[in-house]
Amino acid sequence: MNFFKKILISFAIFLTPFLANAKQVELDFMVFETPNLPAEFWDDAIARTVKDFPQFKINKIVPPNVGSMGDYLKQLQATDQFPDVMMSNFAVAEFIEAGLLMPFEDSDLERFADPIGLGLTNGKQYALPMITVVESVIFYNKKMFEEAGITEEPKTWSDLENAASKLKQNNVTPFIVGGAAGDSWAAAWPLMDLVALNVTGVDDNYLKDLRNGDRNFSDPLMEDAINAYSALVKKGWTNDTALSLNYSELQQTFLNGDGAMYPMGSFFAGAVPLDHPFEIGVFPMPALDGTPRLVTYTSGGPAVSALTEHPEEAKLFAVEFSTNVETNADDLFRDAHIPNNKLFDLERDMADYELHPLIFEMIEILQTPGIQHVPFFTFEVGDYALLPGLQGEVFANSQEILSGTDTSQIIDNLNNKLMELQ
Amino acid sequence: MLITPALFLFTLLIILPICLTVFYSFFKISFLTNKYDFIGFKNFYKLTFKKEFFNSLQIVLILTIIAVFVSNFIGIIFAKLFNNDHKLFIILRILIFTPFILSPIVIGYIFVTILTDNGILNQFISIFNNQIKISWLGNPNMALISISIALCWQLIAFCTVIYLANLKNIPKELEDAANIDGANKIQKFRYLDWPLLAPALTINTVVILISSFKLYDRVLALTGGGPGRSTETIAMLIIRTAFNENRVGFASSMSLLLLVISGATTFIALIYLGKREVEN
Repeated sequence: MNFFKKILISFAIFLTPFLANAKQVELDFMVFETPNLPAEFWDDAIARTVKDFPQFKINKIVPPNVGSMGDYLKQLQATDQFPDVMMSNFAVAEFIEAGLLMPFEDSDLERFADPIGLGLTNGKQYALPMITVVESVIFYNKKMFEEAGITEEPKTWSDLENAASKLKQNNVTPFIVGGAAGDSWAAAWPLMDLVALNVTGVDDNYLKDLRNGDRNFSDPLMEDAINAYSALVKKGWTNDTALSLNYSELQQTFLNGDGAMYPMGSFFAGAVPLDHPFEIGVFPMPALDGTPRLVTYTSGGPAVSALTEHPEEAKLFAVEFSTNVETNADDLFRDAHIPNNKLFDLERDMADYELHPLIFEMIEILQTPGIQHVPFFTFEVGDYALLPGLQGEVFANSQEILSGTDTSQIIDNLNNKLMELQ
Repeated sequence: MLITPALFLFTLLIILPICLTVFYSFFKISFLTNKYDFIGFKNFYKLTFKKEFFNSLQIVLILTIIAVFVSNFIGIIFAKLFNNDHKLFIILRILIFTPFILSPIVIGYIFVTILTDNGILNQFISIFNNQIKISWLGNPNMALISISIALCWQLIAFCTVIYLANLKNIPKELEDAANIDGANKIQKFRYLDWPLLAPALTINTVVILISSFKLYDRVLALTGGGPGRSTETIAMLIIRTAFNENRVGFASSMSLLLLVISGATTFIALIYLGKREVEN
């Protein structure tokens, strides 16, 4: 090989990475990390999509905590750093209204079993309905139930109260609830379920009226829902550590056996080890009027920025990421997120995983015939969405409920904030 | 001419943001939509009725008062204790200053590990009495005390160093004269050290006032402003209003009011303590 050829080859080798990079599309992708979905889960999931589509170079962005994802996005938007793609684990409605999210086309939604999920805005889907989470379930310690003489899972609210009373008499803390500092969303979980089951799931016009200023929080249904949560606290049925626990400590408190019942989303099932020392069961949170209802959330997949320089590529990445069967399987195993992917087959795709029986129970609850599915309060989209800032107020007031504040004061606080924001 | 670069930086980093805040406070703005609607003094008018602002102001004032008294008091004690040229005291001086070089958010997280229900403090208390379990961060009143402990821990370090520097500048002859006059330790402190420490007291008080009024990071890590809104400082309320409720204009009017309140308080403190320096 002569000298000139050597120079040419060296030059070509030197240029190769630059030429390869020139074809690459760089996307900022915001995810969230929780005890069940740590950095490793996201890195693996991104790597799987990039393996199939090597044209993507993904920069992962993680907000300080899952509860502040929306606020963090606003800060990024204010500083011109809005990501190209983001997991929609926040109240997306205000971002849609502000024109910051791009609608998906029908062709993007073909792979999803339920393409509508949480709902459409002006007939368009803005956040991919990647997973289904059952929000209104109560996990329970079977041994504690047995020892307190509770033979059946509570079916009505009075059954639930009777069970709590028996547990208390047996010197057991009936409910583990809470959420401190940045995890106030966890403190609000039972309230969001109660409102969805007994207010917004019953009265279809409530949220629309609230948004239009025709009604406020001084509503008999709302009062009953807040009272139901407040009563659990006032009767001494909740843990006195409620406001000191962050989300992972809260989860661990129940797993340690410090209380009998734990109202949380189906994702808790992913946190229960297969060899956990005591058996855990699960039942749907009963509605106050006894009607079988279930709070579900089908959404949570990636949303695409309307400001991205690579709209088509960003949408392609979002769809491929959320319908990657291996990612769906890992997500189901780790966080009990039920995939909403037509291509996913439970038996085939979970063959390599040993799933906790709770996950199967959760799927059974989701598929219960005749149960009405209602949207999760504060996460609604479209005409039904709450005004920006009200979700935070619901979170903060849930902590107030756990401090023992009266329902009338809670309603006043919410009404004042509503008036201020309208 | 020589001050031009400094003047440029000062204008860019200090004057411009203040001017922008003044400008924003007359508008209804959302960072999401970037829409600006001129509304005159409406934000300021609304602010006079905003209970949350006055609640946060009360919280900040309580924390400021605690920080001013506790940090100065303990700072003086430490300074007197460590005012010795022995090697051990030099090491102790370095150690006592360490908290001040730590970032406030780091301090917040350090105190979270100490103050949670199963934290170091409760575990220590349980050695003596395992029936006592104080919810340092979950009880609204205790949470405020916990924040003031974390705040003072850092400020004491600063106060100690300033007082130490001031003590070193007190002429040895004055102490010798006091000794000849037969003054005891308390009298020496009362009539010699205390009046001559006036400049350090001024610096410390002003720094504490400024730090406490804009308190944000430690509270964010410790309580996130909760339970409920019971420990939400004005800085936290401003961030929440701007980024959670999308009301940038209204948040700007709060920032301006905070600037006026903290500026006025600092000014009064400077005048009062400055007078004391002159008298002494």
